[in-house]
Amino acid sequence: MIIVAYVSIGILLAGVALTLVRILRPGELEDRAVALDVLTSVIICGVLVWASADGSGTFLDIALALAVVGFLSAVTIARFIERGSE
Amino acid sequence: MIGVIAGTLDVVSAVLLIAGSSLALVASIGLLRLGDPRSRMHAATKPATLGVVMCGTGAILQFDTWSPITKLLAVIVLQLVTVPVGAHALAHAITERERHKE
Repeated sequence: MIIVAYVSIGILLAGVALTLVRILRPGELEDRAVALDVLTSVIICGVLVWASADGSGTFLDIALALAVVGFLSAVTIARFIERGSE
Repeated sequence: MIGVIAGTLDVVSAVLLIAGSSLALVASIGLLRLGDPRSRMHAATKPATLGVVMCGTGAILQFDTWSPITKLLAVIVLQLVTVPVGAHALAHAITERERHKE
């Protein structure tokens, strides 16, 4: 099972790297907001994988907190984009 | 018999974990490859959410007490509810801005 966890974490690290490229590359604000959303999802995936390999539920609180507040950045940036156009 | 069931659950869980991680990778590749903001939003919401759901289901199969299973179910439900809200707000903002430009 630990091998599966390592393979999954490797795949997810590649995903984090690609998402960071999208965030750091010059572009529109909304693209970066979308990429931040994806980054949150990828990190939640990584925490879930690691918690399943760990066997204790300690890490799950991180995933829970991220799932609760993850979408707030997207909503805030969306409000900002709308107000900025007025 | 118990051993066979536990082994099967382990295999299913491993497949789900790998598939979920791969879907998260697909989402990040889509962010880089797709052309306009709405296509990128499509890549950002659907594969990423399904990836979290699959990783969560794979993790649920690894636990045998209720406390972590409840937390995992809460994570999955929250992800299913909140990601569309954020994506909708962003799409709405983009549409409003485009209409303003015309």
